[in-house]
Amino acid sequence: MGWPGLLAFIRYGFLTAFAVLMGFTANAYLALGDVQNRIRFRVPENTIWAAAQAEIELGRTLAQLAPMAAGQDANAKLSFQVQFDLLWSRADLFMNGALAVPVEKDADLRQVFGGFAQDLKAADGLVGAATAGDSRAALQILDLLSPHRESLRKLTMASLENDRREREKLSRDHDLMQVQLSRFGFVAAILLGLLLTYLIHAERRARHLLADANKARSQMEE
Amino acid sequence: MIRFFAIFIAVLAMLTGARASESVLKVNAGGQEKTYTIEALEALGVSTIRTTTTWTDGVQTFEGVSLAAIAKAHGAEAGKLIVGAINDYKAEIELSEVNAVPVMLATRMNGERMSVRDKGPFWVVYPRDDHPEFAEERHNYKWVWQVGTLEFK
Repeated sequence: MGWPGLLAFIRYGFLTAFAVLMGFTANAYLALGDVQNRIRFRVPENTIWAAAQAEIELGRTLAQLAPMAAGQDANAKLSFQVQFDLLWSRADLFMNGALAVPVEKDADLRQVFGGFAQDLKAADGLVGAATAGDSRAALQILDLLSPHRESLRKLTMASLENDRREREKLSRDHDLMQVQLSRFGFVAAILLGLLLTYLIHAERRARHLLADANKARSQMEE
Repeated sequence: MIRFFAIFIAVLAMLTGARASESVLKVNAGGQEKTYTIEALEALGVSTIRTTTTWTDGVQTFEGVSLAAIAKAHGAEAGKLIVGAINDYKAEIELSEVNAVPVMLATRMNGERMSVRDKGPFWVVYPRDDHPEFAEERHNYKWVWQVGTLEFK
């Protein structure tokens, strides 16, 4: 391979390496954007919030039921029907939308939550009577829902664990993408510098050749 | 038999009472409180938002009254809006945001009134599909459902 051939080889080699590097850099940039979007739009915090809310509302419902089951006045701010509807709405959060996904994915959680939803439906038929003061109905609801303190605690703990795992993964991905991006950017900058040096050198060489050619032509004309 | 009828009538009375009390909205502005039924609130002007939410599947059609219209009806132009749910949850929304984006107090979802079980009777809804910045998780706390009170400060 002669000098011009070697130069062409180096030139194309640089261009190819630069294009490949730009591709990697663009890919790392998009991946970083994806990780950042996942951080901004993530759902786990809502899952924890919803699980904690369900626990709170179950606690309030059971607290209201205890005196009702004993034939006493619950002395609550909300009627039992409304309190039960609030609990129902919290359970419903895990049946629809983005919050249903973590429960659906985990067989254990699905079973735990399925049991709770089933007993909630069974209790639904007794709510009217309990609200009207039927202590036996209140007692039946109490018996149906009391065991689910543990179920909902499990749901909250599972949500926390999922959240921790996802945060860790996002953090690792974020760091990795940032390192890749800065490495690719650094190498791309070096390649760009070398390419620029080569272009300046080639330009100077072309100018010299042109000057030599002009000189030779003027000598021939003389 | 008498006991059965007594319970039946009591259930009916309590359900009617509960539905009535949970379907009103108390609005407080400058120390003056006004109570709205759903119909009275809708008389301020109903608008529509089609959007996805974190808590439902697919695109939903919400109808309701814009928070800006409620603020205007109560002479609130700047400051904060405290939205309270019937379970005492509270969220603070800047009125500048309410005036800039058509945030709504929804009274219907897909043409149906919303019960407490369906996050009703009033639900703060952001047009997050038209304004994707509100799809970010940090805004979710403002989508208060089962709203019972609005307080302009």
